[in-house]
Amino acid sequence: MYSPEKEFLEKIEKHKGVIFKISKMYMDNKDDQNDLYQEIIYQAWKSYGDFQKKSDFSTWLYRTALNTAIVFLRSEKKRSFIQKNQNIDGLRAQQEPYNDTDDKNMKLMYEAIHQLSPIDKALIFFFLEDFSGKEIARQLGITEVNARVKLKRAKEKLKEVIEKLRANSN
Amino acid sequence: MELENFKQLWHTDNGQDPPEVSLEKQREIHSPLQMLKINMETEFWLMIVTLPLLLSSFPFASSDSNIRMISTLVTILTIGFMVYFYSRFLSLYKLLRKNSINTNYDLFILKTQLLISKEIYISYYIAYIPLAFLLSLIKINFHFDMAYNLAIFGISFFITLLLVYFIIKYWIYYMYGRYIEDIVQLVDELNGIEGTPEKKRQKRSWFERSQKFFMNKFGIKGNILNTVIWFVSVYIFIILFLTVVLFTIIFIGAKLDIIHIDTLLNALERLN
Repeated sequence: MYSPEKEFLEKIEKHKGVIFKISKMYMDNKDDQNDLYQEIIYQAWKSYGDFQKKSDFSTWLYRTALNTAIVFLRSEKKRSFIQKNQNIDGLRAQQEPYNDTDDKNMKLMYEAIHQLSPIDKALIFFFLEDFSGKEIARQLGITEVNARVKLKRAKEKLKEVIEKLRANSN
Repeated sequence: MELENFKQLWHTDNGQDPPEVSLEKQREIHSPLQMLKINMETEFWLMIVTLPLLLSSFPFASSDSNIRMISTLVTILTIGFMVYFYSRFLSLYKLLRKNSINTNYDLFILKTQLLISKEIYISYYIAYIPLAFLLSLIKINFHFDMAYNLAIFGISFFITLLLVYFIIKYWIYYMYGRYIEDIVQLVDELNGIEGTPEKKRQKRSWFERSQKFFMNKFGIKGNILNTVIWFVSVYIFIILFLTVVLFTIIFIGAKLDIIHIDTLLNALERLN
Protein backbone atom coordinates (compact mmCIF):
# COMPACT_ATOMS: atom_id res chain seq x y z
CA MET A 1 0.00 0.00 0.00
CA TYR A 2 1.28 3.47 -0.95
CA SER A 3 2.38 5.55 2.00
CA PRO A 4 3.53 9.14 1.41
CA GLU A 5 5.29 9.08 4.75
CA LYS A 6 7.33 6.02 3.81
CA GLU A 7 8.11 7.48 0.38
CA PHE A 8 9.21 10.77 1.94
CA LEU A 9 11.42 9.08 4.52
CA GLU A 10 13.07 6.95 1.84
CA LYS A 11 13.82 10.01 -0.25
CA ILE A 12 15.06 12.01 2.70
CA GLU A 13 17.43 9.23 3.71
CA LYS A 14 19.61 9.89 0.66
CA HIS A 15 19.88 13.59 1.42
CA LYS A 16 20.08 13.74 5.19
CA GLY A 17 23.86 14.26 5.07
CA VAL A 18 23.49 17.43 2.98
CA ILE A 19 20.64 18.69 5.16
CA PHE A 20 22.78 18.25 8.22
CA LYS A 21 25.62 20.09 6.53
CA ILE A 22 23.23 22.99 5.86
CA SER A 23 22.36 22.93 9.56
CA LYS A 24 26.05 23.09 10.39
CA MET A 25 26.53 26.02 8.02
CA TYR A 26 23.79 28.02 9.69
CA MET A 27 24.18 27.10 13.34
CA ASP A 28 27.35 27.10 15.38
CA ASN A 29 26.46 24.74 18.18
CA LYS A 30 25.29 21.16 18.27
CA ASP A 31 21.89 21.79 19.87
CA ASP A 32 20.93 24.44 17.35
CA GLN A 33 22.21 22.29 14.48
CA ASN A 34 20.03 19.39 15.62
CA ASP A 35 17.05 21.72 16.06
CA LEU A 36 17.49 23.21 12.61
CA TYR A 37 17.92 19.77 11.06
CA GLN A 38 14.70 18.62 12.70
CA GLU A 39 12.88 21.79 11.64
CA ILE A 40 13.98 21.35 8.02
CA ILE A 41 12.72 17.76 7.94
CA TYR A 42 9.43 18.87 9.50
CA GLN A 43 8.97 21.79 7.09
CA ALA A 44 9.82 19.56 4.13
CA TRP A 45 7.33 16.94 5.29
CA LYS A 46 4.67 19.61 5.82
CA SER A 47 5.01 20.88 2.26
CA TYR A 48 5.73 17.48 0.68
CA GLY A 49 2.09 17.24 -0.38
CA ASP A 50 2.55 20.43 -2.40
CA PHE A 51 5.73 19.20 -4.04
CA GLN A 52 4.54 18.59 -7.55
CA LYS A 53 7.39 16.45 -8.81
CA LYS A 54 7.93 18.94 -11.62
CA SER A 55 11.35 19.63 -10.25
CA ASP A 56 13.96 17.30 -8.94
CA PHE A 57 13.36 16.18 -5.32
CA SER A 58 16.84 17.24 -4.22
CA THR A 59 16.44 20.71 -5.79
CA TRP A 60 13.13 21.19 -3.99
CA LEU A 61 14.48 19.81 -0.73
CA TYR A 62 17.59 22.02 -0.74
CA ARG A 63 15.47 25.07 -1.41
CA THR A 64 13.10 24.17 1.44
CA ALA A 65 16.09 23.53 3.69
CA LEU A 66 17.74 26.85 2.87
CA ASN A 67 14.48 28.80 3.21
CA THR A 68 13.94 27.25 6.63
CA ALA A 69 17.54 27.88 7.68
CA ILE A 70 17.52 31.51 6.53
CA VAL A 71 14.66 32.49 8.84
CA PHE A 72 15.36 30.03 11.64
CA LEU A 73 15.13 31.38 15.19
CA ARG A 74 17.78 29.75 17.28
CA SER A 75 16.86 27.79 20.39
CA GLU A 76 19.04 29.94 22.59
CA LYS A 77 16.42 32.51 21.71
CA LYS A 78 18.65 35.14 20.30
CA ARG A 79 16.45 37.98 19.17
CA SER A 80 17.74 37.99 15.65
CA PHE A 81 18.38 35.07 13.37
CA ILE A 82 20.77 37.23 11.38
CA GLN A 83 24.13 36.70 12.92
CA LYS A 84 26.40 39.54 12.18
CA ASN A 85 29.70 40.71 13.57
CA GLN A 86 29.91 37.64 15.68
CA ASN A 87 32.85 37.61 17.98
CA ILE A 88 35.50 35.50 16.36
CA ASP A 89 37.39 35.08 19.60
CA GLY A 90 34.20 33.87 21.22
CA LEU A 91 33.83 31.25 18.54
CA ARG A 92 37.41 30.14 18.88
CA ALA A 93 36.96 29.65 22.55
CA GLN A 94 34.26 27.05 21.87
CA GLN A 95 36.60 24.90 19.86
CA GLU A 96 38.34 21.86 21.02
CA PRO A 97 41.94 21.19 19.99
CA TYR A 98 42.30 19.50 16.64
CA ASN A 99 45.19 17.39 15.51
CA ASP A 100 44.23 16.40 12.06
CA THR A 101 44.75 18.99 9.30
CA ASP A 102 41.54 18.10 7.51
CA ASP A 103 39.57 18.44 10.70
CA LYS A 104 41.21 21.78 11.36
CA ASN A 105 40.39 22.98 7.87
CA MET A 106 36.85 21.68 8.16
CA LYS A 107 36.44 23.58 11.40
CA LEU A 108 37.89 26.67 9.78
CA MET A 109 35.50 26.32 6.86
CA TYR A 110 32.38 26.14 9.06
CA GLU A 111 33.69 28.84 11.36
CA ALA A 112 34.24 31.16 8.42
CA ILE A 113 30.82 30.36 6.95
CA HIS A 114 29.17 31.15 10.30
CA GLN A 115 30.38 34.74 9.93
CA LEU A 116 28.40 35.28 6.74
CA SER A 117 24.85 36.59 6.39
CA PRO A 118 22.09 33.99 5.81
CA ILE A 119 21.86 34.89 2.12
CA ASP A 120 25.63 34.61 1.65
CA LYS A 121 25.56 31.25 3.38
CA ALA A 122 22.99 30.05 0.85
CA LEU A 123 25.18 31.27 -2.00
CA ILE A 124 28.21 29.49 -0.57
CA PHE A 125 26.14 26.34 -0.23
CA PHE A 126 25.27 26.48 -3.92
CA PHE A 127 28.93 27.08 -4.73
CA LEU A 128 30.02 24.09 -2.65
CA GLU A 129 27.35 21.94 -4.24
CA ASP A 130 28.55 22.98 -7.72
CA PHE A 131 25.35 24.73 -8.79
CA SER A 132 25.73 26.78 -11.96
CA GLY A 133 24.95 30.52 -12.02
CA LYS A 134 21.71 29.74 -13.82
CA GLU A 135 20.65 27.16 -11.23
CA ILE A 136 21.50 29.50 -8.35
CA ALA A 137 19.45 32.23 -10.02
CA ARG A 138 16.48 29.88 -10.39
CA GLN A 139 16.71 28.67 -6.80
CA LEU A 140 17.00 32.14 -5.33
CA GLY A 141 14.56 33.81 -7.71
CA ILE A 142 16.96 36.47 -8.92
CA THR A 143 18.58 37.14 -12.29
CA GLU A 144 21.58 35.14 -13.37
CA VAL A 145 23.77 38.25 -13.48
CA ASN A 146 22.68 39.18 -9.98
CA ALA A 147 23.33 35.63 -8.77
CA ARG A 148 26.86 35.66 -10.19
CA VAL A 149 27.63 39.08 -8.69
CA LYS A 150 26.28 38.01 -5.31
CA LEU A 151 28.21 34.75 -5.38
CA LYS A 152 31.42 36.60 -6.21
CA ARG A 153 30.87 38.98 -3.29
CA ALA A 154 30.00 36.14 -0.92
CA LYS A 155 33.20 34.34 -1.89
CA GLU A 156 35.23 37.51 -1.34
CA LYS A 157 33.66 37.97 2.09
CA LEU A 158 34.41 34.36 2.92
CA LYS A 159 38.06 34.82 1.92
CA GLU A 160 38.30 37.91 4.13
CA VAL A 161 36.85 36.04 7.08
CA ILE A 162 39.28 33.17 6.57
CA GLU A 163 42.18 35.59 6.58
CA LYS A 164 40.91 37.21 9.77
CA LEU A 165 40.46 33.85 11.44
CA ARG A 166 43.96 32.82 10.39
CA ALA A 167 45.41 36.09 11.66
CA ASN A 168 43.60 35.59 14.97
CA SER A 169 44.85 32.06 15.36
CA ASN A 170 48.50 33.04 14.78
CA MET B 1 43.63 27.51 1.53
CA GLU B 2 41.70 28.38 -1.58
CA LEU B 3 37.94 28.26 -1.71
CA GLU B 4 38.10 25.45 -4.26
CA ASN B 5 39.64 23.32 -1.54
CA PHE B 6 36.53 23.94 0.52
CA LYS B 7 34.54 22.06 -2.09
CA GLN B 8 36.68 19.01 -1.59
CA LEU B 9 36.34 19.33 2.16
CA TRP B 10 32.60 19.85 1.85
CA HIS B 11 32.16 16.67 -0.12
CA THR B 12 34.28 14.66 2.26
CA ASP B 13 32.40 15.98 5.29
CA ASN B 14 30.48 13.21 6.89
CA GLY B 15 31.65 14.39 10.31
CA GLN B 16 28.87 13.66 12.73
CA ASP B 17 25.93 11.44 12.11
CA PRO B 18 22.77 13.46 11.64
CA PRO B 19 20.16 12.94 14.35
CA GLU B 20 17.28 10.52 13.86
CA VAL B 21 14.80 11.72 11.25
CA SER B 22 11.49 12.56 12.87
CA LEU B 23 8.36 14.00 11.29
CA GLU B 24 7.18 15.40 14.61
CA LYS B 25 6.95 19.12 15.14
CA GLN B 26 9.39 20.53 17.62
CA ARG B 27 8.05 21.94 20.83
CA GLU B 28 10.10 25.07 20.45
CA ILE B 29 9.41 28.09 18.29
CA HIS B 30 11.76 28.45 15.35
CA SER B 31 9.86 30.41 12.78
CA PRO B 32 9.27 34.16 13.05
CA LEU B 33 5.71 33.74 11.84
CA GLN B 34 5.00 31.12 14.45
CA MET B 35 6.46 33.42 17.07
CA LEU B 36 4.11 36.16 15.92
CA LYS B 37 1.17 33.78 16.02
CA ILE B 38 1.94 32.71 19.59
CA ASN B 39 2.41 36.34 20.67
CA MET B 40 -0.82 37.40 19.03
CA GLU B 41 -2.72 34.50 20.55
CA THR B 42 -1.42 35.36 24.02
CA GLU B 43 -2.26 39.01 23.58
CA PHE B 44 -5.72 38.17 22.28
CA TRP B 45 -6.61 36.19 25.40
CA LEU B 46 -5.07 38.82 27.66
CA MET B 47 -7.20 41.50 26.02
CA ILE B 48 -10.33 39.35 26.14
CA VAL B 49 -9.88 38.96 29.88
CA THR B 50 -8.61 42.38 30.92
CA LEU B 51 -10.16 44.91 28.59
CA PRO B 52 -13.85 44.24 29.30
CA LEU B 53 -13.01 44.41 33.01
CA LEU B 54 -11.28 47.73 32.56
CA LEU B 55 -13.98 49.16 30.30
CA SER B 56 -16.84 48.15 32.48
CA SER B 57 -15.46 48.65 35.97
CA PHE B 58 -15.75 52.46 36.18
CA PRO B 59 -19.07 52.99 34.44
CA PHE B 60 -20.61 50.00 36.21
CA ALA B 61 -20.01 51.78 39.47
CA SER B 62 -22.56 54.29 38.26
CA SER B 63 -26.14 53.86 39.40
CA ASP B 64 -27.38 55.27 36.10
CA SER B 65 -28.86 52.41 34.09
CA ASN B 66 -28.18 54.30 30.83
CA ILE B 67 -24.49 54.42 31.60
CA ARG B 68 -24.47 50.73 32.50
CA MET B 69 -26.21 49.87 29.24
CA ILE B 70 -23.80 51.98 27.16
CA SER B 71 -20.80 50.43 28.94
CA THR B 72 -22.08 46.96 28.27
CA LEU B 73 -22.60 47.78 24.60
CA VAL B 74 -19.12 49.30 24.31
CA THR B 75 -17.63 46.20 25.94
CA ILE B 76 -19.46 43.91 23.55
CA LEU B 77 -18.35 46.06 20.63
CA THR B 78 -14.75 45.91 21.84
CA ILE B 79 -14.83 42.13 22.14
CA GLY B 80 -16.32 42.04 18.65
CA PHE B 81 -13.37 44.10 17.39
CA MET B 82 -10.86 41.79 19.01
CA VAL B 83 -12.46 38.64 17.65
CA TYR B 84 -12.70 40.15 14.16
CA PHE B 85 -9.08 41.28 13.99
CA TYR B 86 -7.75 38.09 15.47
CA SER B 87 -9.76 35.97 13.03
CA ARG B 88 -8.35 38.07 10.14
CA PHE B 89 -4.86 37.32 11.34
CA LEU B 90 -5.57 33.62 11.72
CA SER B 91 -7.01 33.35 8.22
CA LEU B 92 -3.92 35.12 6.92
CA TYR B 93 -1.72 32.67 8.78
CA LYS B 94 -3.52 29.73 7.20
CA LEU B 95 -2.86 31.17 3.73
CA LEU B 96 0.80 30.51 4.30
CA ARG B 97 0.47 26.88 3.32
CA LYS B 98 2.15 27.52 0.03
CA ASN B 99 4.25 25.93 -2.61
CA SER B 100 7.91 26.74 -2.48
CA ILE B 101 8.74 28.54 -5.72
CA ASN B 102 12.08 30.15 -4.99
CA THR B 103 13.78 31.75 -2.03
CA ASN B 104 13.12 35.31 -3.14
CA TYR B 105 9.43 34.64 -3.72
CA ASP B 106 9.02 32.74 -0.45
CA LEU B 107 10.76 35.44 1.57
CA PHE B 108 8.80 38.13 -0.21
CA ILE B 109 5.52 36.35 0.60
CA LEU B 110 6.61 35.95 4.20
CA LYS B 111 7.57 39.62 4.41
CA THR B 112 4.24 40.67 2.90
CA GLN B 113 2.26 38.46 5.25
CA LEU B 114 4.14 39.79 8.25
CA LEU B 115 3.69 43.39 7.18
CA ILE B 116 -0.02 42.85 6.55
CA SER B 117 -0.36 41.26 9.98
CA LYS B 118 1.34 44.27 11.49
CA GLU B 119 -0.97 46.66 9.66
CA ILE B 120 -4.03 44.70 10.77
CA TYR B 121 -2.70 44.91 14.29
CA ILE B 122 -2.12 48.68 14.11
CA SER B 123 -5.58 49.28 12.68
CA TYR B 124 -6.97 47.20 15.52
CA TYR B 125 -5.51 49.60 18.06
CA ILE B 126 -6.44 52.66 16.02
CA ALA B 127 -10.02 51.37 16.03
CA TYR B 128 -9.95 51.96 19.77
CA ILE B 129 -9.72 55.72 19.34
CA PRO B 130 -13.43 56.27 18.59
CA LEU B 131 -14.22 53.83 21.40
CA ALA B 132 -12.02 55.84 23.73
CA PHE B 133 -13.83 58.98 22.64
CA LEU B 134 -17.15 57.36 23.49
CA LEU B 135 -15.88 56.06 26.81
CA SER B 136 -14.55 59.47 27.73
CA LEU B 137 -17.99 60.89 26.99
CA ILE B 138 -19.54 58.21 29.16
CA LYS B 139 -17.26 59.26 31.98
CA ILE B 140 -18.74 62.76 32.03
CA ASN B 141 -22.29 61.53 31.44
CA PHE B 142 -22.28 63.39 28.11
CA HIS B 143 -22.22 66.79 29.83
CA PHE B 144 -19.56 69.31 28.87
CA ASP B 145 -21.37 72.16 30.56
CA MET B 146 -20.27 71.36 34.08
CA ALA B 147 -17.10 72.49 35.80
CA TYR B 148 -14.04 70.37 34.96
CA ASN B 149 -16.03 67.93 32.81
CA LEU B 150 -14.18 69.10 29.72
CA ALA B 151 -10.84 68.59 31.49
CA ILE B 152 -11.86 65.11 32.69
CA PHE B 153 -12.98 64.21 29.19
CA GLY B 154 -9.74 65.60 27.71
CA ILE B 155 -7.48 63.78 30.15
CA SER B 156 -9.37 60.52 29.82
CA PHE B 157 -9.17 60.70 26.01
CA PHE B 158 -5.54 61.80 26.10
CA ILE B 159 -4.60 58.80 28.29
CA THR B 160 -6.05 56.42 25.70
CA LEU B 161 -4.23 58.20 22.89
CA LEU B 162 -1.04 57.92 24.88
CA LEU B 163 -1.64 54.21 25.43
CA VAL B 164 -2.29 53.65 21.73
CA TYR B 165 0.89 55.57 20.88
CA PHE B 166 2.88 53.55 23.38
CA ILE B 167 1.50 50.26 22.05
CA ILE B 168 2.20 51.17 18.43
CA LYS B 169 5.69 52.40 19.18
CA TYR B 170 7.08 49.86 21.65
CA TRP B 171 4.75 46.93 22.23
CA ILE B 172 4.37 46.16 18.53
CA TYR B 173 8.11 46.37 18.03
CA TYR B 174 9.01 43.91 20.77
CA MET B 175 6.18 41.51 20.07
CA TYR B 176 6.23 41.59 16.28
CA GLY B 177 8.27 44.32 14.61
CA ARG B 178 11.73 43.02 15.42
CA TYR B 179 10.97 39.72 13.65
CA ILE B 180 9.57 41.58 10.66
CA GLU B 181 12.61 43.86 10.45
CA ASP B 182 14.91 40.90 9.93
CA ILE B 183 12.83 39.45 7.12
CA VAL B 184 12.62 42.84 5.41
CA GLN B 185 16.39 43.08 5.66
CA LEU B 186 16.83 39.63 4.09
CA VAL B 187 14.54 40.44 1.17
CA ASP B 188 16.32 43.75 0.63
CA GLU B 189 19.69 42.03 0.71
CA LEU B 190 18.59 39.44 -1.82
CA ASN B 191 17.27 42.10 -4.16
CA GLY B 192 20.23 44.40 -3.73
CA ILE B 193 18.15 47.14 -2.14
CA GLU B 194 20.23 49.45 -0.03
CA GLY B 195 18.37 49.72 3.23
CA THR B 196 19.00 52.24 5.94
CA PRO B 197 22.30 51.38 7.57
CA GLU B 198 21.72 48.85 10.28
CA LYS B 199 21.37 50.56 13.59
CA LYS B 200 23.99 49.46 16.04
CA ARG B 201 21.96 47.33 18.35
CA GLN B 202 22.31 48.66 21.80
CA LYS B 203 22.20 46.54 24.88
CA ARG B 204 19.51 43.91 24.85
CA SER B 205 16.31 45.32 26.34
CA TRP B 206 14.79 44.02 29.57
CA PHE B 207 11.92 42.57 27.57
CA GLU B 208 14.36 40.55 25.44
CA ARG B 209 16.37 39.46 28.46
CA SER B 210 13.33 38.22 30.34
CA GLN B 211 12.01 36.57 27.16
CA LYS B 212 15.27 34.69 26.74
CA PHE B 213 15.29 33.71 30.41
CA PHE B 214 11.71 32.37 30.42
CA MET B 215 12.02 30.64 27.05
CA ASN B 216 15.19 28.89 28.09
CA LYS B 217 13.38 27.68 31.19
CA PHE B 218 9.93 26.84 29.87
CA GLY B 219 10.07 26.87 26.03
CA ILE B 220 6.91 28.21 24.33
CA LYS B 221 5.17 28.57 27.70
CA GLY B 222 8.03 30.78 28.78
CA ASN B 223 7.30 33.14 25.92
CA ILE B 224 3.63 33.28 26.91
CA LEU B 225 4.58 33.87 30.54
CA ASN B 226 6.92 36.68 29.54
CA THR B 227 4.17 38.35 27.50
CA VAL B 228 1.68 38.08 30.36
CA ILE B 229 4.14 39.49 32.89
CA TRP B 230 5.06 42.43 30.66
CA PHE B 231 1.45 43.08 29.68
CA VAL B 232 0.36 43.30 33.31
CA SER B 233 3.48 45.26 34.35
CA VAL B 234 2.98 47.81 31.58
CA TYR B 235 -0.67 48.21 32.60
CA ILE B 236 0.28 48.80 36.22
CA PHE B 237 3.20 51.06 35.32
CA ILE B 238 1.08 53.25 33.04
CA ILE B 239 -1.69 53.56 35.62
CA LEU B 240 0.80 54.44 38.38
CA PHE B 241 2.73 56.83 36.16
CA LEU B 242 -0.37 58.69 35.01
CA THR B 243 -1.74 58.82 38.56
CA VAL B 244 1.48 60.46 39.73
CA VAL B 245 1.43 62.91 36.80
CA LEU B 246 -2.23 63.82 37.40
CA PHE B 247 -1.72 64.31 41.13
CA THR B 248 1.28 66.49 40.42
CA ILE B 249 -0.72 68.63 37.99
CA ILE B 250 -3.59 68.91 40.47
CA PHE B 251 -1.21 69.76 43.29
CA ILE B 252 0.59 72.45 41.29
CA GLY B 253 -2.74 73.75 39.94
CA ALA B 254 -4.17 74.01 43.44
CA LYS B 255 -1.06 75.77 44.73
CA LEU B 256 -1.26 78.29 41.90
CA ASP B 257 -5.01 78.69 42.41
CA ILE B 258 -5.75 77.49 38.90
CA ILE B 259 -7.58 74.38 40.08
CA HIS B 260 -10.21 74.55 42.78
CA ILE B 261 -10.06 71.35 44.72
CA ASP B 262 -13.64 71.42 46.04
CA THR B 263 -15.11 71.96 42.60
CA LEU B 264 -12.88 69.22 41.20
CA LEU B 265 -13.93 66.82 43.94
CA ASN B 266 -17.57 67.61 43.20
CA ALA B 267 -16.96 66.94 39.52
CA LEU B 268 -15.27 63.62 40.31
CA GLU B 269 -18.11 62.78 42.69
CA ARG B 270 -20.57 63.24 39.83
CA LEU B 271 -18.70 60.59 37.83
CA ASN B 272 -19.84 57.99 40.29
